[in-house]
Amino acid sequence: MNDAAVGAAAIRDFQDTFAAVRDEIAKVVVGHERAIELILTTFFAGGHVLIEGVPGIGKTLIVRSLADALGLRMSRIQFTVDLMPADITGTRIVEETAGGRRELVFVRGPVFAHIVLADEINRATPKTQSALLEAMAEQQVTVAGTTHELPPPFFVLATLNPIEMEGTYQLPEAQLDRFFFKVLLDYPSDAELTRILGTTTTAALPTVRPVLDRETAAGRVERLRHVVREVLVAPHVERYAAALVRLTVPAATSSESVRRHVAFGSSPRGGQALLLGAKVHALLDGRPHATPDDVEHVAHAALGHRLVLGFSAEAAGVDGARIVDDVLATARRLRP
Amino acid sequence: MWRPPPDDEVDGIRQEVRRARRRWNGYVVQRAAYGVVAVVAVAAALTLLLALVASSAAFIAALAGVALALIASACRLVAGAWRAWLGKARAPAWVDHRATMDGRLATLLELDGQPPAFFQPLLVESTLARRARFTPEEVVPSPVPGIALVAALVALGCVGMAVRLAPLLEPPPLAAVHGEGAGTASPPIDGLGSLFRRAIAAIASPAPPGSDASGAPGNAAVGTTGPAAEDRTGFAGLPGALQASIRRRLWGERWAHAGPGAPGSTRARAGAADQQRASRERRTNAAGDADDVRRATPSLDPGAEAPAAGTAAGAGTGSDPDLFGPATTPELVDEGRFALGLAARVRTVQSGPRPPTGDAPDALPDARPTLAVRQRPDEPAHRVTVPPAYAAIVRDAFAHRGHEGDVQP
Repeated sequence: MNDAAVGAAAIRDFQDTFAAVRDEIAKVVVGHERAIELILTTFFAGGHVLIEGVPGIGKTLIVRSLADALGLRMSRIQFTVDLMPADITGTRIVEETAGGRRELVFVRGPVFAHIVLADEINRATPKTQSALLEAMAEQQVTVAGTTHELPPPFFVLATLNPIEMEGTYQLPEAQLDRFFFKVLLDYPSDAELTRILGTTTTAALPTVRPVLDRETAAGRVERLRHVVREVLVAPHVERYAAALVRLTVPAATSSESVRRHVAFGSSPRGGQALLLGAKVHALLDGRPHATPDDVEHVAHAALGHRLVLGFSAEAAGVDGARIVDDVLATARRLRP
Repeated sequence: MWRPPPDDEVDGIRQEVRRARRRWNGYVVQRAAYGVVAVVAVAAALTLLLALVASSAAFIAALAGVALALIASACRLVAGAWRAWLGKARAPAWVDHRATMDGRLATLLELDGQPPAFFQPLLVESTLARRARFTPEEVVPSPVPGIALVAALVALGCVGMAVRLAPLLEPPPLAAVHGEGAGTASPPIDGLGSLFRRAIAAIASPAPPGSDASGAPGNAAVGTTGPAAEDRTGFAGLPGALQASIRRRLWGERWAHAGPGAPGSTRARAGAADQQRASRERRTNAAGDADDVRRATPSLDPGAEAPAAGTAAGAGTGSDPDLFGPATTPELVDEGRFALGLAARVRTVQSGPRPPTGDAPDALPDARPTLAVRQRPDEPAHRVTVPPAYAAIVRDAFAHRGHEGDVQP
């Protein structure tokens, strides 16, 4: 097998795995195809995803199904207002050894898992929320001066309930910026709702079959993530992604809506999310290289939540998606 | 470690892109050149037609418009060619887009020279598999811009057609009118050329109310292009000179009177008037001297020439033989045409008679003022007593003379 055939086989393997996981999730989650694709894209790109949707729409089910399909260890943290950072990261307890000595032993928290579901993350205090910062950015936690590595792959899925805002703490911008994508879950359509009712009220509930072997799943996922990073990106595609990010910055943009409604634009992490998401999309399309179209395909999910909108945007009813639309329209003139 | 793709494969792709780039740039240059040729030819055809049918003022305005349109169109064509010109850096992405390579070609060529990557062999292979799409012949199907070429040829054809139409646009011979009812002296000219000329003239040369006929194409040959064209020198006289030059070349030398040095100009007409005045004075003096001699020495010869109607030039009852200017040269007469001065009462077939406007010019001073103080009364000459010594002279003076062949009483 020559080098080209090896590359083609890697692409096919990625496509097959991605499709298999997606199909397994689709057994229990009706609809939300676009959301599931974005979540899987985030997972294989090595990022974390923030899911926003009303209660009962399937957020937790998606995450649990994803973990089951990938054969990875999952933990769930229900964020409440009295949740402490140690409840997430773990803490040290006094433990008596066999010799009768007492020593401090670190007990790992729920963050030590491959897939962490941070349910209703906005209900915890900012202090607790920020406990996830280090874990999400550096895949490690530091407790009492000791740094503990998180086992790869590490994937955080946080959910937000946009309705009940009372007693919630809005996520700080630094925390939001660490989420690779933000995925919105809409209400199901009539047909989807009918299917949901039909599949969830019978005796034979659908189950998710693991796509990857539990023993080798972590290593397999890491290899697939490596394949994603091997996707070729030409300089003109990098320039295009950088231009998109720059166009969200009010001081550097030529977009009128950005100047008017955006207080702070996207960080460089937004550009990284654009390119990595574009690479995943290119692989799904069977290409070993990314294009500007791939970048645009993930632009809304990568940039929308990274924009800090001003009061004028709220007054005018302008949201991040519309700003990204304007940015894309402006940036298309820059395409080669 | 992945092996880098063979250099000759990437070089072959690069050469194809280079060839496609050259082919496209040649196409762009040709398209711009043909476009410029087309625009210039259309402008030339319009200038030719306008020079033939438009008055001087209309020609100047139209020439300015044509020149501006020509410059704007040429600049636009050049700017378009500049934008379409394919630079070295832009060529891979452009060829990739034209060949619908989905970014393969651009990515491969832009990343060439960098450390070998995992997917590079696959990219090279998938690009080579689509090699037929980005050959120069496929990317730029025709090396010659057909539409631009046809446009240039059509425009050149328009120039040729304008030159061929020029004789048809030539105004018909002017008919001199020596009195009422003489307008039918020239047969009416009809036909395609006349109709076309009248249509263009109506558009290009709207005669302002009260203007003289100098601007109309029918009288343009008289040598004036209107007061606006007079006394122009240098750059301001270029349109008039151009118009005269075009008419001279297309219609012949007799139409070359539109420039500042043309006979119709003020200077030339002043010189002609001086010559006519001097000629009249010479003839008047000669006639006066002869009359004096005849009066002083009455002759009994009945065949001796008497003053016409008993008057001299400028006496108010005769016409100056040089009133319409110097005689036409035999060469022009042989061609069936002749030139008339501005003061000539002419009636053209197309435009009809136009009455003279403005103040009448001052009359030349009378050689014998006392004879023209007032009009002679129509009173019969009463028989008076004539001395016998003068009877012969008086009888000769009042004798009714007939034409040759008449029988003398």
